Amino acid sequence: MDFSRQTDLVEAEALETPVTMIGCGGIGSFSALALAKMGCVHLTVYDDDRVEEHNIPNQLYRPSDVGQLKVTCLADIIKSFTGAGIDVRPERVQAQRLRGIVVSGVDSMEARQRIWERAIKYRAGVAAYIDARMGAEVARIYTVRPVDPDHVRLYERTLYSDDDALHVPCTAQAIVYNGFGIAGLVAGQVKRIVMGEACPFEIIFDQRTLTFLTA
Amino acid sequence: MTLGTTQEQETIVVKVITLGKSTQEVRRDSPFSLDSLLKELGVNGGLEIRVNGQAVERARPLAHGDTVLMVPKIKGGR
Repeated sequence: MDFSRQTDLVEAEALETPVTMIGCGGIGSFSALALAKMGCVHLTVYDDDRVEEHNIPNQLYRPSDVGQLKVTCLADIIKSFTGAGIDVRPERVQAQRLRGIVVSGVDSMEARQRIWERAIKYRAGVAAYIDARMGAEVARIYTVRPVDPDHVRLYERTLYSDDDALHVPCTAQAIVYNGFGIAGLVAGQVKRIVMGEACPFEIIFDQRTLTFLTA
Repeated sequence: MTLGTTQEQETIVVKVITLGKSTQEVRRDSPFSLDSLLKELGVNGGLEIRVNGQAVERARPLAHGDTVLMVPKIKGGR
C-alpha cells in the first residue's frame, strides 16, 4: 500500500511492532481492519467463534460469511481491503505467550480477567495492553503497560465482575457506529504507543450524550 | 455562586450525565447529597459514579455546579 498520506503521522517502521487482537466481533473486526489499513504488518487475530446472522449489522462480516470462522473471514476481508495477510488463530486465549501490543475485544469480564491474569499481567513481552469494552452506544478503552505496577493497580480497579456489570437487553447491546468509533480510538492508541507518544490510560465515549473523556 | 439564596438553604444546580441515556440539570435545595440524588434517580447498580471526575463517597454533599457522571459498567465486545 502507498502510505504517503500518513508518513508525517506514523512511521512505517514503528508499525512493525506485533499486534494481537483477541476477539473478532463488534470491536475486534473493525479494529483489525483499521490496524491493517494503518500499516500494522504483523497482525494476529484470536477467536474461536463463527459468524452468525445477527453479527452482520454490527460487525464487519458479509452475509456470505455466516457459518464460517470469524478469523478466516476477517483475514479474507483484510486481504481484499489491503492486500496484506494476517495470522489467524481459531482459538481462545488462555496462557499463550503474546508479544508486542495486545488488544482485547472480548465479551465478558470473566474473559478479561482470565486473559489479564494468564497472558498479560507482568508479561515482559507485552509492551502494551488495550482493553476495549462496548455496550449500546458507550465505549470504555483502557491502555495499560502490563509491567508497570502503578498501571497494574489502576487497571485492576476497572475489573468489575460480570454480575456487577450493567445488564443490557439483547436488543440494545451493539450498533455499528460504536464499533467503528472504537476501532478509530484503538488504532489511535496503537499509533501513540509505537510512536512513543503520551497515551491516556482511560478513554470513555458515548454517542448518546456525545460525551468524550480521557484520563 | 448559588441561585435563590435564603437564610436557611440555597438552591444548587447539578449537571447529571448518565452515559448511554441522558444529560440533565437537577435543581434542589441544599444540603443535597449524592446518595439522595442516586435514590431519586433510582440508581441501584451497574454504574460507576464520579463527581467532577472523581470517585466519591455517596454521603458527599453536592455543591452548585457539580457534574455527576454515571458510567455504565459495560462488558461487551463480540
